[in-house]
Amino acid sequence: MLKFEEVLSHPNNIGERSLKHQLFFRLPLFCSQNFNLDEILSSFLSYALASQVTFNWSLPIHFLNWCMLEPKLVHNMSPNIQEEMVKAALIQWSLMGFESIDAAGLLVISKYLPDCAWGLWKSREVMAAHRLVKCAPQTRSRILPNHLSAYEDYYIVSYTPGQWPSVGSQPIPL
Amino acid sequence: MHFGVNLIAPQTFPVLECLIKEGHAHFCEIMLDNFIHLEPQKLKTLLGDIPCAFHMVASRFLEKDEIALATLAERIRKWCDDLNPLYISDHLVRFRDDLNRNLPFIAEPDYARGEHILFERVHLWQSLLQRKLWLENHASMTKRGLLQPVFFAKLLDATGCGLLFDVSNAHIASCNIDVPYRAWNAMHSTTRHFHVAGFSRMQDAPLLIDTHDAPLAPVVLQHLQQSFKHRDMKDLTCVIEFDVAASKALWQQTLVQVKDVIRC
Repeated sequence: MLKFEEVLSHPNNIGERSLKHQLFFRLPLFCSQNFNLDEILSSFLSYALASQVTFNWSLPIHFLNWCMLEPKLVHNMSPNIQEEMVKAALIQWSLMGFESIDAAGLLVISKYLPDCAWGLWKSREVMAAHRLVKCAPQTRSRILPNHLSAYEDYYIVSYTPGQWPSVGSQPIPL
Repeated sequence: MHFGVNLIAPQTFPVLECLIKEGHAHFCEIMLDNFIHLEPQKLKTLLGDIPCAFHMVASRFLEKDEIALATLAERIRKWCDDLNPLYISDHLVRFRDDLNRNLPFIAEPDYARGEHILFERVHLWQSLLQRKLWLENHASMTKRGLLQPVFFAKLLDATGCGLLFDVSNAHIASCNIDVPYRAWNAMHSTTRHFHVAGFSRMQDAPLLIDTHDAPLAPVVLQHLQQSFKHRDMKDLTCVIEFDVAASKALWQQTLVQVKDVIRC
């Protein structure tokens, strides 16, 4: 039996140090606020474990949602920082090369960014980099069906380069 | 001896290409994770006549279900058909726990309790790939690594897979958890494929981490010298790994240093 908690409890705090790096490495704006990152990580970790978060690519979005409900943090959560967290999730997804080989891109809709959606298109050429894109409100409203709650986060995977599908959005996974 | 340089991102290709064209290195080891979404022919065009090998980090072959693994293997076989790699290598590690949660850091499997399951998974992955798989020894940070050399010896016998011996990883494990470097002697003296890289010390902790971001440590150069002392170099490969934007000068200097140490 291999459990997350067992790995987290290894000596020298290597589990927490590693998580701290994974979570904050792509959040330079958030980190520039001079928060006590160890304290924040510890509180968020308790929440994430209790909520059965799976620590996958969507972790920065769960972190965003948690920050927005934290009285000590919410006032410092500028739209730029919120976008930074969504972009961090997209980048994390793009780094799992063997997990979604045929996907061309991923679009994320955050309940805290009502006027846009952020997407990432994988490169199609060897010497090109993946591309983060900000989508217009029309794209967001086309993808987010009316019956879905505006109080949740969604994602949609595209298998056609340059084209976000109109159907198939899913709630952000735990 | 064929010296390799590792390609982890397209931006580093011009440096690699230069090192190979100038004769400092002979082949390019492609980190397949970062290119698998592309058409293999596109990379073939880029490489031209540069030979290549494939290295995988997160295939997650210990965890994926058989259908997902077969689908992935089919894609990788296409890459093999198109680019004819010198070898294909992977890591024997866990990325997720038994509840499917991503682990805080890559973990070694439980070698003692899971021996037969691990043998089966390696056997399965190798059969799906339809070629010999070379598995890299882990830079152990926890006590789980104590049994790694003993397990690998059994694994090679049981499955016919190969050991991709990472000299610096064996040194890191020897410092972190007291598994002597010599525990690998019988295996590294017969294997054909090697890795070597720089490492760092974790801040405020007595741990070494396999960071691939520093020049080679003198002790690792000594291990290299020892490992190649009585070997026929003809069919051996050794990749000098850098994971960050290493300058051509540093990479070239490291290649010269390694060649000097093993008198190649």
